[in-house]
Amino acid sequence: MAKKVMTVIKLNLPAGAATPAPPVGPALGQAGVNIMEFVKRFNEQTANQRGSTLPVEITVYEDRSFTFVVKQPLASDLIKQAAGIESGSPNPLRQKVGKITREQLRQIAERKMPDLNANDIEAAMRIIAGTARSMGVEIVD
Amino acid sequence: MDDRWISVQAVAPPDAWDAVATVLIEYGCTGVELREAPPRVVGYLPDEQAHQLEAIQERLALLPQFGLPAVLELRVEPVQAHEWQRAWRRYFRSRRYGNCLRVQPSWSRRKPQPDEIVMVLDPGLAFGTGNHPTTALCLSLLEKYVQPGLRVADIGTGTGILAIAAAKLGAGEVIAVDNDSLAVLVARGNVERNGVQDRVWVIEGDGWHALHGVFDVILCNILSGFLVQTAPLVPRFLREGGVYIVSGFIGRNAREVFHAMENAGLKREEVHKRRSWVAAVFRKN
Repeated sequence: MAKKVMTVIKLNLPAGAATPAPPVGPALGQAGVNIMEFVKRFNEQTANQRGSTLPVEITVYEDRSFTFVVKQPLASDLIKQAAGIESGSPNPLRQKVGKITREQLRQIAERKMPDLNANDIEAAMRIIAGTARSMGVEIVD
Repeated sequence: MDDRWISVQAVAPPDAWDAVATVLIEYGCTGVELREAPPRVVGYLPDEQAHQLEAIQERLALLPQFGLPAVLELRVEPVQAHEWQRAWRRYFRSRRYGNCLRVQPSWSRRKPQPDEIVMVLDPGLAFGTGNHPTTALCLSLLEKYVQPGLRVADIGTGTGILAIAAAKLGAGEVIAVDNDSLAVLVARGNVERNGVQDRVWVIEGDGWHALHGVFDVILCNILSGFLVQTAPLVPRFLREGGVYIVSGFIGRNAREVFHAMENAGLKREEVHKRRSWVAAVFRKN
């Protein structure tokens, strides 16, 4: 019989560089999961993506064992990669720091689609476009 | 360790989550948690970063101007660290490894069997309670390779569990190294608790650079990246015929680790797997 799921924890963590500090500690400690065990496994599995922030979904079972699934990097990381920039704008209204094309926008939306709440690719593109603009990245044709 | 944090909870629909998380991370949060009911992004700032709150608030207020949903509420609260640091203790229980090693939490009252070698551990926040497959694999391998009087090194000792096991199995001298000062404190406490402080030395230092002389057995249960990077250093710290016991990597990364060891001139003796984790033994001939 399948083990009974106690809770599902969703975190966004730095690839290969998670630590027992918050948010990992409070989230997993409360669920009774051995914090360092998760940290070690996550870091080992994501070491080759260092520099990105990765959404991870941790399923905790009744016996306190757990499994986790790592998803696509944060939209902002994919946008930075596409625009070829290190970081977003500190003042996104006035200072633009980069551009991505609609085609790049669509590719990012397609990659993120399974993790987003969006019903169709157009809705996903709107979310990604908003995220891009909030970083000072413009969408160009 | 810094014990004071501020939790920042931004209540917002999931469509805004990536943008909110990006802002929180940019201003000092080391990751975020996503929660439902109400949907929100939770980040934590170390107390001394509290001055960033204003900037976070300003940036989040802009989101609707970019076509994203608005943050409905920003809740800021102080958090105490000790609660979550102890919460998982309830689930750490006495367990047996290999033929005769038993790992027992310091608060357990279980009586040992006559044939058992008992190690008492208080893990705190350091790694290594035996519950993790890599620690369990290393314990079984130690039983096989540690003989009375041997000189042993443990790189990345964490709780000190493997170093203590080596001493209890008869090692003459054990050098345990960790680069995390918290782990060093935890390990020293555990070494004393087990009465092996005459043979186990816990050193705070940078892996291999903290070692002197040669060893009969060297243990390293860290991660594949570290094992690969430091492989060329291994032979100079191993006696002829000495063994290097490694773990901490998953099957997918095993080839890379094996390759690095073989390039360093070490011969693969045995490989074990538990769940997706791998442990292996290499010998210097």
